[in-house]
Amino acid sequence: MTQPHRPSVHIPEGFETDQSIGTSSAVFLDGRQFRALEVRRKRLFIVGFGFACAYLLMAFQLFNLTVMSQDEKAAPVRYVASDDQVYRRDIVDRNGQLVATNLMLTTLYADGREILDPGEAARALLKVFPSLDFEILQTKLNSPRAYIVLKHGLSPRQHASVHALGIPGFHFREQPRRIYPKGALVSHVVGFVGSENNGLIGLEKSMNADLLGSERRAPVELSLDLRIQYIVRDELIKSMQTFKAKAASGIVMDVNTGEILSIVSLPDFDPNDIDGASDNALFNRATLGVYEMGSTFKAFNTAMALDSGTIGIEDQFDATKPYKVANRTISDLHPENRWLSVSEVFMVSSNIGSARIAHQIGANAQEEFLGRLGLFDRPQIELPEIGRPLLPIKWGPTETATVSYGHGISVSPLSITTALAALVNGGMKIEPTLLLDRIDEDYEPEQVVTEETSRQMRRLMRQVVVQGTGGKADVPGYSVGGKTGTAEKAIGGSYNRKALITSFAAIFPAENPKYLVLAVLDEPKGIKSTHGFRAAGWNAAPTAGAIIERSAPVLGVRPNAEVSPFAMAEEYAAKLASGE
Amino acid sequence: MVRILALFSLMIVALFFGSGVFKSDTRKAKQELADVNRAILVEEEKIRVLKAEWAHRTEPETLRRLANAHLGLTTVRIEQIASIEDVPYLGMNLYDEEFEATPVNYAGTLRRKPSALAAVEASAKELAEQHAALEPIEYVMAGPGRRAQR
Repeated sequence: MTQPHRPSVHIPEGFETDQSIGTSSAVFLDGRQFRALEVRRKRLFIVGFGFACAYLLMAFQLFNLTVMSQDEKAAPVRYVASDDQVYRRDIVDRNGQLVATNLMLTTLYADGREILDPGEAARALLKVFPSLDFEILQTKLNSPRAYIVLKHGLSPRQHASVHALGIPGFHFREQPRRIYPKGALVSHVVGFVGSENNGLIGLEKSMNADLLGSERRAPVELSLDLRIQYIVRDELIKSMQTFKAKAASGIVMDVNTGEILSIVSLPDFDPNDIDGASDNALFNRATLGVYEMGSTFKAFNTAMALDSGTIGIEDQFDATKPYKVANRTISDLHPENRWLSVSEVFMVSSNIGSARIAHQIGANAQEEFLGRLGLFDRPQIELPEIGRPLLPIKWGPTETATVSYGHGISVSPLSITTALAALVNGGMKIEPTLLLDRIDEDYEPEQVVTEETSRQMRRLMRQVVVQGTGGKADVPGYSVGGKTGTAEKAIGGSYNRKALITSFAAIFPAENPKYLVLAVLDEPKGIKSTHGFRAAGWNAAPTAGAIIERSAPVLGVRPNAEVSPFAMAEEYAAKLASGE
Repeated sequence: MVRILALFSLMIVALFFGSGVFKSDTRKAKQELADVNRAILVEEEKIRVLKAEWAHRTEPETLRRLANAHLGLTTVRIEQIASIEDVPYLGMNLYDEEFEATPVNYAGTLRRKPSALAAVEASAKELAEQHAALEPIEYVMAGPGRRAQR
């Protein structure tokens, strides 16, 4: 340590140092000694500077590491274990029942470069998965590829078993997989996804962008009611078996909102196991298939007549003999051979009467009316599989006549359901939907027929069930209304008398309809209990009736008072009192 | 000058040391957070599995099969559905000698006159006593695949 005001001493060269100067003075040296000291001082300075730099560097690095460090590579963990995966939203029905979800499933794969003995590895794997094929497995394992998928969806036990085999080259990968817990119940509506997690059919396809997301979001709510869906599917399966039909479809729709509570197409498939599904099963008959619907179309023809204002419900039409139009003769299945009123034409389902009504209204008005109901457009619904209607090329007298009773025009069951709903709900055109609470405040329903026409149509449809062709659809307690439709399938350019499409469109309660049920059977056969008949009244009508009987309590539609236990008790008491 | 420098260096050393301690604490906390997050994910995945399992087990066809095998339930008939509005009005005839003590009659009366409750309660008590005097019925839990045995 230096001290201030020290005496300084200059020592010339060759001077011997005197002890009296002491160490407390600064010493100036000359000559050799001075130079030697200067060299030392310089060296010391260089070394000191080096040390200073090193310390500075260390200080900087210390500061950097402790305070500034944001290096993600140095971070110890990733905060979310699976933040690189793509989420797919769950799908639930209107009651919150899970329809589609994702589960992490283990995939077993092999690295071909690490497999030492493909034969041995394959044999070992067969112990865990006896259902796999040895030859295929061995061929697969022979490949030098790095990612050979061997099995998807391993259970934890299988995972452990494969692990325990101790074969080098077997690896596992956790992947999210789409699961449909209800299986075939909602097969066509919801659809399924491919291996890349993209929807291939159904809502999974049409709503793919909406379903995918980088984070978990609330599930998509469908308008479907799984309870109704089950009832419809169950009854259609029964009817298919009973009447030996090739296929069937069914729709239940809320006529006021257009919400679809059930939509079924049979045969169907299990979306969890799509490898086994045939093209026939994948085909959605309720929305993609278009059919000549037959007499169900008479509902539109009758509504057109009533809505025109020129034809009243009691106006008479000549159905005494077959009606000749151009080169075609129109006849009735069960000819009445008399003049029929408009309501009778509808009830006995007279082709002749319908054709005459259509001719009186005119082709242009008919075309305009059916177009207004939306029968010429593809229905707007959240599904990719929507059938385009097949319309007559030209709208001549023959076409006007055949279209009046549902031939020469093909529409999808969904399309006819939507148009019929407008006829019976007070005349409001609705848009069918599969989503719950689809809020569209600006949407103003278009009035397509008058309220009076709608009221008359309900009454007529009720009469069809009470006195007409739809008697077997009646469910005591619920006033069911409806219309049968029996159409011959056009195969190879001509109609086949043996191959029919039968349908029944039912509304209930008929006075103020809430729901519309459509049941369609493809090629039902005549059986003993139907006396060999195969028309819609014998198969489609009872199917629709059975669906209504089972679903009305679920839907909260109250039965009429006359079937309540109290009314029956009163009846019984009256019988007792009268001594019967 | 030198003292100030020395003090400053000391402070810096202390600062570095302190920040090092904080850093290590932060790392620990982050590690803990990551662990908890991972545990949440694992739990969520478990919940999803359970939900899917529940949805699968409550598939209507499965339920119907189980109900048929174990409960003997059938589809509700329309005649079995009624609401309180359907109950006929019977007036205050509770104390009539001819009043028949059926649940329907009770309900019909009760709806109009709550004070009739006392009479109903007395009658219910009597019924309960009669019931208690009956032989007890033994129920055996149904095993898998077996119907309930009485």
